[in-house]
Amino acid sequence: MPRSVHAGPGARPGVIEETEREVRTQLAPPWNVIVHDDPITLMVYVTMALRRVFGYSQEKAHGMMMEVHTAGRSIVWTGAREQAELYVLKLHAAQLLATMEPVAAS
Amino acid sequence: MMLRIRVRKDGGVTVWMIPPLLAQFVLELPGLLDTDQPDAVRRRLFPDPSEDPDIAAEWRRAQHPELFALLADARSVVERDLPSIAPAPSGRSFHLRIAAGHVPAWISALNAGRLALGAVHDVTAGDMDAGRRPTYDERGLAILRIDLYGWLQGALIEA
Repeated sequence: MPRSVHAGPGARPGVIEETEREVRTQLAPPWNVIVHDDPITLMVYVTMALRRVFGYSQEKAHGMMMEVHTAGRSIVWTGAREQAELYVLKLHAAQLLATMEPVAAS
Repeated sequence: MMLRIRVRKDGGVTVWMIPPLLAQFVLELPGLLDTDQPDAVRRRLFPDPSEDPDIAAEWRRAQHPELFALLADARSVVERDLPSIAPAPSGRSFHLRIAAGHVPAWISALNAGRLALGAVHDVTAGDMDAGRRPTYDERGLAILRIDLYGWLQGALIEA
């Protein structure tokens, strides 16, 4: 909380007035990238796409694919909105059902 | 019958032992890859990234042209390789030569074709179950086509 010391128009000689103001820095919330299940896409294809888009290991990509398959969706990445949009674009280019939403909404 | 895949020295891939029905379906694959598709297909191939209508509208404006172009590219690659489909000497199967560097586009095109058929015929997880009862109608044929495309797609992924 920064403090400022100043002599304003109504300042009394010899008296230093201090005011405090609070500065709140609002960080942009992170966004989740979510892949949703669909009945058509091959499981091996989903794993391959996750590896290519994110560079994940076979084990990690396979685990996420299985979560998509069993739970209906998986959060595959979390971070800044601009990067989330780029990842969703790449997932859509691979024809995966992918969405993005702020972390609080997930 | 089992598909056989050989990676050639030039980096391309040859697929052998393609059953005649799958060969016919492969020849028809480009017809599924138009960007001018029924709404159900467009919604599946080009889904919205968010339930927020503003984000979705901006997405369609900014990103769809690139996604349309990618699908058109995949279709173009497939069309260039299709003339190579030829019957084997036995006449019981066909082979297909996929040019070097074209496999990713084939995998993508087969996936898009499967999704388009699934969207048109409202295919469910139950329809894709290996133990399902086949139906002998247009929808049943579409599901068979999805299966056969998946057979080739899976073979190319694992090649």
